[in-house]
Amino acid sequence: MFKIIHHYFFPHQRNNHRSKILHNSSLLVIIVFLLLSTWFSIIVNSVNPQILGITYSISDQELLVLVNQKRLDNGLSPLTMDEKLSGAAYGKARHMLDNNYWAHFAPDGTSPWNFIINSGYNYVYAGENLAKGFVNANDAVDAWMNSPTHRDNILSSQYKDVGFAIVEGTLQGEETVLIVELFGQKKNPFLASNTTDVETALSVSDQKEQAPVQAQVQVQEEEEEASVSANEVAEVPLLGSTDIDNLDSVNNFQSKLYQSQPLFDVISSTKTFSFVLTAILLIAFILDFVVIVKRKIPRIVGNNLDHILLLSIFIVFIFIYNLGTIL
Amino acid sequence: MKNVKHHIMLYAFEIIILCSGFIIILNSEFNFWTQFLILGVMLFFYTVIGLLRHTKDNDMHGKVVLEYISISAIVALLFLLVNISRI
Repeated sequence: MFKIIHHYFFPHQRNNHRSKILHNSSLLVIIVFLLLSTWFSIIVNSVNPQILGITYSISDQELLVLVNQKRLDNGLSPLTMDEKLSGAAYGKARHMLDNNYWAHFAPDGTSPWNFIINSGYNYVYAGENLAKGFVNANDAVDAWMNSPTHRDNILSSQYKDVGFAIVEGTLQGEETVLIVELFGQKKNPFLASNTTDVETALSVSDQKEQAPVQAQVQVQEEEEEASVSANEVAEVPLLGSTDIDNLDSVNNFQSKLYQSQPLFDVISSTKTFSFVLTAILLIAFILDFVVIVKRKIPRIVGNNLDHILLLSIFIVFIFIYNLGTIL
Repeated sequence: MKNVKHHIMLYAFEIIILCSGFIIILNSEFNFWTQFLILGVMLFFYTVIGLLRHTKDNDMHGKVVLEYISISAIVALLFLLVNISRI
C-alpha cells in the first residue's frame, strides 16, 4: 500500500521523477473516467430520478417560521400567511415556468402585482422575493437575508401578510424548484367605510398610487425593467382570460411540503466526489513540486505552480458553490 | 521561485483571470451553459498563459501542451459533474 502511494504521489527514479498520478497517461484515464461518470449520471438521472436525483425538503410553513423568526429577531411583528398571496405566488411561479423566464417582470409585461390583484388581495404595499435551485428552506431564507434588497423585503414593517409557492419544473432548460415569496399589506377597510365618498376616492387614489411605488421600489434595485413610473405600473393590463382561468387552480392552492428523497442525492454526491478528486490532484501536485524543488531535478513537464493555482481556486469554488440563486 | 519572479506579470494576469472567472460564475444569474462557456474561456486563457511561459523559458514540449489541456479538461468535467442536475 505504501509503495503504491509512494509511486503515485512522490516523484522518484522509478516513475521518471514525476508522481505517477500526474503522468499524462494517468490524467487521460481520469478524463475517460469522468466522461463515463458524467454520461452515466445523466442517463440514471433522466431514466430514474428515484435512484439518482435531487433531495429536496421545502415547505411553506417552514419558510413562514424562518421568515418570522428573522423578523422577531429584528423587533418586527410576525407576518401572517395569506391564502390569496400564496395563490398569487403560485400563479407567478407557474407563469415563469410556462413562459420560461426568470425575472420579476415577465417578457410580456406581466408584473408581480398582476398576480396579487387577480388573486383578490387588495394591497397597499407589496413586494416579491424569488429563489430557485435551493434544496431546503433554510438556505433560501439565508440567501435572501444575505442580499440587502431581499433582506429589506423580509424586514419591512410595511408588510403584514406573506404568501409562498414552491413549484418544481423546467426553467430555461434546467430542472429546478422555484420559490416565490410575496409580501403585502391589505388596504385598510376601516378607512374606506368611515369617510365620505370624495374622501374615499381620494384616499383610494392616493393609496393606489403609493402601492405600486412601494412595490416598484422593492424590485427596482434589482432589475432595470422595474424602472417604470408608478402610473405605468398601476395601468399594467390585468391577466388575459386564459390566465384568469388558471387562477381557479391558483385559488385552490393548498400549503404543502415539497419533498423528494432519491436513493442518492446527485448534488451532494457529485460535489463530494469532485472535491475529493480535486484535493487528491492538488496534494499530488504540491508533493511533486516540493520534492522536485528540494532535489533540483530538471524535467520537461508543465509548471506545477500553474496547476496548484488553478486547482486551489477550483477547490474553494466547489466548496462555496451553491446551485441556488435568488432574484 | 526564480520562475515566479521572472514571470510575475503572467502569474498576476493568470490569478486575475482565474479569480474573476470563478467569481463571475458564482455571482451571475446566467444559465448553466453560459457559465460553462465562461469556464471554457477561463481555461483557454489558463492554457495559453501557461504555454506562453514555457515558450519564453524554451522548454515547450508536446507533452506539456497535453498536460495543460488534460488539467483544463478535468476541471471542466468536474464542473459539469457538479452541475449534473442542471443539465
